[in-house]
Amino acid sequence: MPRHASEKGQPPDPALLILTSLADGPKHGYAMIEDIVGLAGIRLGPGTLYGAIARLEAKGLIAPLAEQDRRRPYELTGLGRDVLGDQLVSIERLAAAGLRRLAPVR
Amino acid sequence: MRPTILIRLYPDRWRRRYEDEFSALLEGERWSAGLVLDLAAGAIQARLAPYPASPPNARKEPLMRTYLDTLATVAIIAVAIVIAVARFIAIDASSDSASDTIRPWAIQVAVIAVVAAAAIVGLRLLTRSRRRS
Repeated sequence: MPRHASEKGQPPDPALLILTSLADGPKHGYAMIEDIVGLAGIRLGPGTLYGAIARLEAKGLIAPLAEQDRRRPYELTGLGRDVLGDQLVSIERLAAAGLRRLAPVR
Repeated sequence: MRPTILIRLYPDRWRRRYEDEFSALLEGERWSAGLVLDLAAGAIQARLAPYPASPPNARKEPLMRTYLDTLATVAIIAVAIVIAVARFIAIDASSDSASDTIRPWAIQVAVIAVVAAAAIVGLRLLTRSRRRS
């Protein structure tokens, strides 16, 4: 059963989860929620999801597509792809450094 | 009653842009304290954020109405928190005597929140009827 974001201590940034979810193609809100459950084991609430969608759209990182049956898919923009790539590289570096430091202690 | 009614907590400019797709998403949700908290927090965030911008020809929301809506949203959050706390206490009631000291506090907060929400809704209706007359 997916855990709520708040049950994992420091919750991951919903915006980063959404950008990552859209990295392999456009999705609408419900598909994003399900995809993020699979990716991170976290279920974003609808208010949290759409708060982040509105913020990302305002920043030009995602763009809406034509509505289908009252569901509107979103896609990454070029800027969104660049920002996501930078963030993931930064996280990867941090994770690698952290794991290296932990290794002797284990 | 479906949780889609909580979309009314969001400001007009936000609803103009997202209401259709957001209500479609909410139709699959069930009522819970967590959902109410999530939506109420989202509504406050939407009221504080400058996006999505209103179209240039849109009627501006009166300041008083914006304040009342925000207060009503805060009151709803308080009620949701109290419901969540009360449920937690009910689950934990048999474990120790600490719940005996928490329960009266939770009831007081619930009463205050409900009275505050009722007062705000009343004020809101009053200002609306004055505007019409």
